[in-house]
Amino acid sequence: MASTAPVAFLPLFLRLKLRLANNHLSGLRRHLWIHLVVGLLVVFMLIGGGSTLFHLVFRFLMEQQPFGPPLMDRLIRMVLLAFFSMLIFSNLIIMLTTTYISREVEFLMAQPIPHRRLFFAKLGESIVYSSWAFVILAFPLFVALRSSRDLPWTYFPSAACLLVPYLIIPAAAGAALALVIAAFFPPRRIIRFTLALGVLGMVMAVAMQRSQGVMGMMRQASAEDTADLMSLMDVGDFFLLPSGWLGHGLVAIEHGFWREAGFWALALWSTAAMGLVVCDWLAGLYYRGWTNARSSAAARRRRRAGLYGLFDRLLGWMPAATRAMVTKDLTVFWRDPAQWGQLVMLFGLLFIYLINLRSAAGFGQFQIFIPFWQSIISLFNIGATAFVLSILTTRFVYPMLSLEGKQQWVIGLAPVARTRIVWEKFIVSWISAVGLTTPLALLSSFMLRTGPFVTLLTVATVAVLAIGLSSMAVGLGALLPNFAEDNPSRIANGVGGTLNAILSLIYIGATLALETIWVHAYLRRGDVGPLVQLLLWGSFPVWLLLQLGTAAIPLTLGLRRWRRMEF
Amino acid sequence: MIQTDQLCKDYDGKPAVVDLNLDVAPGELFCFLGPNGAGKTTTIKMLAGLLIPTQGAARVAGFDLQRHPVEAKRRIGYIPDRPYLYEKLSGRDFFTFVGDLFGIPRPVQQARLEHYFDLFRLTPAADQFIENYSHGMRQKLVFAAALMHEPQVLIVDEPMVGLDPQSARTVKQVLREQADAGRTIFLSTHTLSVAEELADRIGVINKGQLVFLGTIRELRARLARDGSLEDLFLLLTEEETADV
Repeated sequence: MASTAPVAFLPLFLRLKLRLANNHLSGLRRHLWIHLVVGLLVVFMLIGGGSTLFHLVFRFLMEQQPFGPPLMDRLIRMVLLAFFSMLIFSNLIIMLTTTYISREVEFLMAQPIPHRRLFFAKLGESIVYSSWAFVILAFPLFVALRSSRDLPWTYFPSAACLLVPYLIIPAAAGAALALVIAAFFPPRRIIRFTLALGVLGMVMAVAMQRSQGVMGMMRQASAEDTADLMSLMDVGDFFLLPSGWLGHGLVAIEHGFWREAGFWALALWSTAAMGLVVCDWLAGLYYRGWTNARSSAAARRRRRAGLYGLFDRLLGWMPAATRAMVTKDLTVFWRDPAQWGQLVMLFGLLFIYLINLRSAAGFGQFQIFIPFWQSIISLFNIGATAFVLSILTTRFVYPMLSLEGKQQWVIGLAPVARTRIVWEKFIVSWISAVGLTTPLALLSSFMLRTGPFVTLLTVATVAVLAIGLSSMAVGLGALLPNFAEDNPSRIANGVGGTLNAILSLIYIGATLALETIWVHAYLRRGDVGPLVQLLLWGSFPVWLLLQLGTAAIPLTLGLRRWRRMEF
Repeated sequence: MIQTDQLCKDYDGKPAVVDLNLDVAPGELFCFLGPNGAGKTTTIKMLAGLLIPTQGAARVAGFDLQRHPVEAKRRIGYIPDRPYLYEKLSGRDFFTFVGDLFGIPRPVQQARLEHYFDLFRLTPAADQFIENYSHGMRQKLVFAAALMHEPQVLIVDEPMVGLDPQSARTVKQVLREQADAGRTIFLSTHTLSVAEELADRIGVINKGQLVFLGTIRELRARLARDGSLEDLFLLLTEEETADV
């Protein structure tokens, strides 16, 4: 029989996760170089680009005496407050997903593990998941802070002493919220509500910022307006906010005020400890909430029929087999908040950037309403939109055919041409991509007040890239499927998904490079040298070949492969 | 070894299990039968501590699943119908992980791994990732892991799905041997021939209610009919449906 002595579960759990990570990496070793290249590229772009941007902003503020430095401190605290809010949201969603919905927990619940310990093991996992994203986003900020203020390298380890409890506090808050709410409401409904709240929060933040005329104040030179602006930004300094304590602690470290830094560190660490104590106190609710989730899942099966019926009615004009496949895809997608939540967040961020274009330009006293900047920024916006779209096609579109592998006993035996499913995925992807990106392209043109040529170029390019990216993702999904996996993100992280990501970036870059020549000629009103003339005439057929090739080749190869596929 | 006392479970006010009273003795191989949606899996999950009863209590080896869950689970080996396995662990890794969870010393784990992997013919695949295992291999691995800590009670939900004839025979032999060694087996299955072959007693549940409890001989007597368990089961459940 099993030992009656209590087993130390937390070290076991940690060992399990490390073993899983190691085994996962060993599976990647064959294609490690692709993952390394892409990973390093992304990290370099994020950290390098982000650090440069922050550095420029900080340097500018430092030079605006006497208000620049205190304004900068407030700006940092606002950024830390935004991160803090995001961390609470993301920890809530991660806790609900990994602690209440995951199948792993059903296995662990049947083992002789005290529920409380299981919960804390999952809390630790949540801290790790939310932290790595924070590190990637916040690292450029700290690099820029150090470089703009010429701080010594010891700044980083000192800041780390404050950052660790700063990450634990929102994790504990998210976990406590999850414990209380999930004891009474189904976790999936909470996740949908949280995501909707997050989007609403972003929209409200933008609306508030615009209504307060923040950017307008920033453009003004008067001391009164600057003082108004700084008082507005004092919300990041509210005495009960850990993000404010972190901000003060960082300033203290910067100036070598170690006693003061110690005080803020103590505040953060003690609050983190208190958060964990509260979680321990509430952990008794975990088992109840978890079994409620199991019970409500069984009851919900009846109510779910409504969503499928709704999509089915909306798509009634399609042929039956195609309608069935599209309805199934849309229903499955909608029922997984983890899927569309990412879509909402990515496009939401892009939307916020575009809607603030005029204000941000004004803040830098940047005259964007001249043809040169309108064109350059439009090209940049096309690239940003297409980049976000390529993330989505890699993450969602590429895995679609792989996920159908296990359904071949239904779809494969239905009296429907095999290639119909590939076309269905392509059409759903293309229409969704055009639907998401075209409004953003129009918004970009509207905010920049571009003329007809640039507007047409922006919208047409985005629509054409949507076709190319969809074709590439679907085609590669058919050429390099992974039927062994159920998890779309794992499929996307495989060889085919990585290849799709790289080729998408190359495709976007090549398209924009060619169009830069057109824009250059447009700005010069056609008055260009012979070399540029040659490039210009050559770029048209090359661009056309690139678009036709990207749209046709992956899809053709994919269709051919799918016709001969064995399952 | 397994006792349920007025055990009930509702989903949103709709009863899934109603007033279930069972007493399964040590060394008994008890088969729990019923049509789809009758409440078998709900009952099993309450016995494994994965669902909270709406009313009543379930005790395993004398421990109430709700009051003393850890003590109860230490004495249970649970084999679900759709077991979760860590795809990126090898069979050996997974076995070791479960052994550590139950506090089995490593030398003992090693000996039992060799025994059960040999018994279920998993030794050649011991160091392969579970993601490469067939369905039958996964089932056998779950069996091996569930038996490793020598549980007093084995709760099994649909064990035969996906097993080849040789593996199915091995599983039946193992279940019989475990029962003969004094362990309690609570087995839910749709494969009535298996129940007929193995069961000391059967319980038949239909629409959440226990409609029969006893031996197969007693069932024949009640229905005044000879025949296979399948014939008897269909007659019983049709009769119950007609009564409703």
